[in-house]
Amino acid sequence: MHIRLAMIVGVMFLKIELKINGKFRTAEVSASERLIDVLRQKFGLVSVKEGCGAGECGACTVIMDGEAVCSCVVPAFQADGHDILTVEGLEENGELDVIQQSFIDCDAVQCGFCTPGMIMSAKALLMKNPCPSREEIRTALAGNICRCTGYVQIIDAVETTAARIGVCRR
Amino acid sequence: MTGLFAPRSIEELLSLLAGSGEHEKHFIAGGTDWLIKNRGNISEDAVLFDLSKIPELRGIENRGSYLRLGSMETMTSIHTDPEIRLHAAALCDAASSMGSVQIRNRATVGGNLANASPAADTPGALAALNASAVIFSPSGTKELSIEEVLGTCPNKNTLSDSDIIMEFRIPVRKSHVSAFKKIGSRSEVSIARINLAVSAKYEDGAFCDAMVFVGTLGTAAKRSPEAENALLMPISLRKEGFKKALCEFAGRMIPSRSTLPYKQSAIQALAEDVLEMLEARGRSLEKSGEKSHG
Ligand SMILES: Cc1cc2nc3c(=O)[nH]c(=O)nc-3n(C[C@H](O)[C@H](O)[C@H](O)COP(=O)(O)OP(=O)(O)OC[C@H]3O[C@@H](n4cnc5c(N)ncnc54)[C@H](O)[C@@H]3O)c2cc1C
Ligand code: FES
Ligand code: FES
Repeated sequence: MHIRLAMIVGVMFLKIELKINGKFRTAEVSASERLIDVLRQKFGLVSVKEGCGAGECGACTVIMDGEAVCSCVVPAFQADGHDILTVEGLEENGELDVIQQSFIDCDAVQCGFCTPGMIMSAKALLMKNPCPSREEIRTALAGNICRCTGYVQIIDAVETTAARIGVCRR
Repeated sequence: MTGLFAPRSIEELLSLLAGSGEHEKHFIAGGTDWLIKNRGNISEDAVLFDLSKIPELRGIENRGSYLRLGSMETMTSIHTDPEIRLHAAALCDAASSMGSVQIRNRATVGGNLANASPAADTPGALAALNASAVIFSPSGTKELSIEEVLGTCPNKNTLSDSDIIMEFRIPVRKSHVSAFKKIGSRSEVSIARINLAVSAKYEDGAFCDAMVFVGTLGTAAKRSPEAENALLMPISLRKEGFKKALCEFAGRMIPSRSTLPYKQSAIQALAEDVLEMLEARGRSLEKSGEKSHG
């Protein structure tokens, strides 16, 4: 029987095709590279932060096919054929996304290290549930650690975003 | 030379496996355990199989007498599925309590079992639901219980290196209720310190046909016959009997472990909560008149 190999690679590299912030891209990745490595090193998307490198802190959160994931625990080769969104993809025509503006307006940013990950987790929540309760916001952000703010302003910012999008009345 | 294959069907995977001879083999599901364990030390001649593009490993469907659950289904797809919620509530509880949203979006049920961490959450729930795992390999197909896959060694399953967990079969049983709860170090991101999964038949406030599994006492799912018997006790004695039985069970499983006193007090708290969940689910099952709950 003839087997068509979807991918076979030598020591170092294989080619993946993926969509990043709306644009089709290709990259050569090694078997042990992670999605975060590809985003930061190959595409310069440095909003994606590495905190723990073990799926615990959420600083590396990006949206993959509409779902928040920790890009430090996604093997790069599994991003082949998928759609990735990072903070760099939120701005449109030089204007910040409502969620970015709300983080600024609600003082939800101090050192800023956790902010891109927080924003992507919150964005993934709002894409599915435009009127989340505070409890739902807390659950969605539970995998994102912030050492500065104490979380209240961050939850306020997500609530403010929801109110500004205007689907729900509060 | 490290090789990586991303087969698009089970048939293709089986042929590739058969052709990969004596090479060290790795299967990659969601990668949440695999990447942390293996990044940077993948052996030169290892062959990697990405399971994420194989459609036969996906899907949740009601086949009448059982639910078919593809091994590549994620915790998010499991805990949001109405069939799972209705017929396998313990699994729904376990999947929704695992890690964070980001981890639940990637972590698969097959990977959770295959990884065989004693602190894993879904193996105990699957075992309590009397689920079986369907295993594929180039030499054929077999159906194993969850305990058979886990064996007795922590962090090591009993599968051979060409065995793939294809799917789980969870019996759909009339008048059955189930529940799972864990106590972990943090509310969301936590590797369970102890967990408890129970299923039983519920009739007029009484339980029978109980299956009780505890995680973290050596392996991810240890069955407790004494706790199963305690659930049959008269209602007035049942709660205390169930707590006592689980406490004794923990003492029997990890007699000299320094964590025993902690686990014994934790398991009694879990026992009370899980019993309340089962009773509440039993009552709502009877009220709805719908007699096929998990
Ligand atoms: C931050 C964080 C929090 C976590 N919290 C929890 C928690 O609360 N509870 C919990 O139980 N776990 C937790 N985990 C552990 C992990 O997410 C789970 O064990 C997960 O279900 C593993 O699935 P995976 O798809 O990522 O497996 P992978 O990492 O892809 O694979 C794990 C192992 O299983 C093998 N494997 C995978 N699929 C198959 C298959 N179909 N057939 C044969 N072998 C297979 C792989 O070869 C590998 O050895 C956590 C992990 C992280 C990083
Ligand atoms: S860097 Fe990925 S979760 Fe911490
Ligand atoms: S603002 Fe500093 S970690 Fe969150």
